[in-house]
Amino acid sequence: MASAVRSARLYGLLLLADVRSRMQYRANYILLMITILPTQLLTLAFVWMLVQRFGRINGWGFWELAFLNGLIRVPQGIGYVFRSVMFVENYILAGTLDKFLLRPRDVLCQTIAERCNFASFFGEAVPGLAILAASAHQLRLAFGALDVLYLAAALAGGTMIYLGLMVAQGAACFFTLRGSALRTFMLTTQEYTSYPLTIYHPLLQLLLTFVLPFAFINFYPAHHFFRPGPAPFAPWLAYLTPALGAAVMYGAWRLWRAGLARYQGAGS
Amino acid sequence: MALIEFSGVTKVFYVPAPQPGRLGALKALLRPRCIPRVAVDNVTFSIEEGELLGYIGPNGAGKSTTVKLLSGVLVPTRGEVRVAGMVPWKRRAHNSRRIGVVFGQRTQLWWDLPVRDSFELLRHIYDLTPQQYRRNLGELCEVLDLGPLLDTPVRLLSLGQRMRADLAAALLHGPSVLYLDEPTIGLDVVGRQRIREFVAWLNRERRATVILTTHDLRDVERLCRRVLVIDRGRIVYDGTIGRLRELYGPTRTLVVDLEEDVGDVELPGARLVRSEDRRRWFEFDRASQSASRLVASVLQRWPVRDVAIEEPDIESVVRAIYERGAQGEGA
Repeated sequence: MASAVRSARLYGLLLLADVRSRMQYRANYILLMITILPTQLLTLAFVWMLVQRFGRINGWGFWELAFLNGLIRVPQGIGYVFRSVMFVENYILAGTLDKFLLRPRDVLCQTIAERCNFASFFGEAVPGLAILAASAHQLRLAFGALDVLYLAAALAGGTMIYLGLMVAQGAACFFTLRGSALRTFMLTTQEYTSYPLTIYHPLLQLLLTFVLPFAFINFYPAHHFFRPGPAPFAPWLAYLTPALGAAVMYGAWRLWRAGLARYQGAGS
Repeated sequence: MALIEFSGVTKVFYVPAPQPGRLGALKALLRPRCIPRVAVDNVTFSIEEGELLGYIGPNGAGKSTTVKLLSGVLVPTRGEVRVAGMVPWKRRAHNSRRIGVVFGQRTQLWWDLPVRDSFELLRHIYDLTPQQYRRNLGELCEVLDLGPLLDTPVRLLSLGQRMRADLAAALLHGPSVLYLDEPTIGLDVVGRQRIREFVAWLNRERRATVILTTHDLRDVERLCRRVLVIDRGRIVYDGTIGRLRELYGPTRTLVVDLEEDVGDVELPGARLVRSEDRRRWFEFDRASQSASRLVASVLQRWPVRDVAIEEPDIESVVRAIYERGAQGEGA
């Protein structure tokens, strides 16, 4: 237990060291935080224009869609703090990974703690929460204790799914040596979460549910609140988000271990 | 049993190969073809506790790979590595507490932070008690003269200063085994000399076992009794530095810059091997000829602007080893 506390303290210090390094270039850091926000608002403005022009989208009005957006912003904003874990090939090329392997500490934890980007927490996760609150207010959602609990669990599960996918993508760099193709695939697939799953071709629904399960982060939980029509596949999928989050994280961890073993030459 | 045992170790890397043809890129994606590259080829050696071993070879000979195999970063393809009875990669964390590693071309320091902050972070990484930390840091600061640098951001240090800070960072947890991979690379004469003195101190005072990798022969001549020469992944020499010198370097080269072109010249005791404009290269035997006497006789004969004596570099040593077909002692 004491050693767990010491470890947590260490990784906190490592993250802080990175923040302090970045503070050497303070103007750049603040600019970064400021520039994230308008891109968020732009997505929402676009959604608003669509609704103005075409009316409700498959039964989803503007505030429902805003809620859908808020639900992905929060996990994404938190996940993006550790976004460098997706760029493992850079660590391999720069010898940073060897540096981690030379130390008596877990390599994944060191990788995650090497660089952090708190700008996306303040520029994305916090506004995401605000959007969630605003749309819940506008929609006059009667939040009982169970609903709050469900929302918290969905956000936690969604964050775990997001982090897990990022780590898995990073681990894939060990096998592909260059991560850009997979990264682009993941980031473009993620774009589809801005609209309800039901508007897409069934194949895309399949992809977003069972392959890269982004739909569990925002679509199914949002659908659970509004039920603007039948859910694709099954409505009870909305309850799976937290469990799936744990499963994705575990799977990502296994993949990371296999990838690292391959890098060291113990695997394959 | 020796402290470090390296027995029949081979390390093969699989490098993805570009494929020819118009659809080459696609083929490489779907079914990558990998070319095996043997970085370390059936290498065997052992090192006793307290030894200071020189490990030399040209660039790309397999020196860094050996260091990574010793420190548990890489797993051998074949063969076995043991350090103090342990297989490094199987007990990576445990092994890492007793070794200190410096890769001269890289730094483990936090680039934008003061030197002191890197040491503080390493204190937590290695779980040092405040007493251990203060004692080790105090000693290292004194020997490496780091005191004035502690509050300087790493990116503002000169290469020599950074190397000293990196050495301290690798030694902060008090390791008894050191792998120094090219610690003198890129340094000027003064910087190199400081590092050499420090390595000698570590071995003598702290009784550390040191493997010193370099492609500068002078490092090894000053510091090590025993030397391993590696080329293309194979050990081509394992023995004393004295015998290596006998083998490779019976000759040195005297380079003379003349004030005026005096045409063909002769110098007793040396052989003219090259002549270019006003510069002449004379090869002479290390054992039988004294460099100072040759220089004196050159100065007597011709108006001279400058003279220099060149030692054979590592490439020519390796070439000489091959030409003689010599395999050194026990290699």
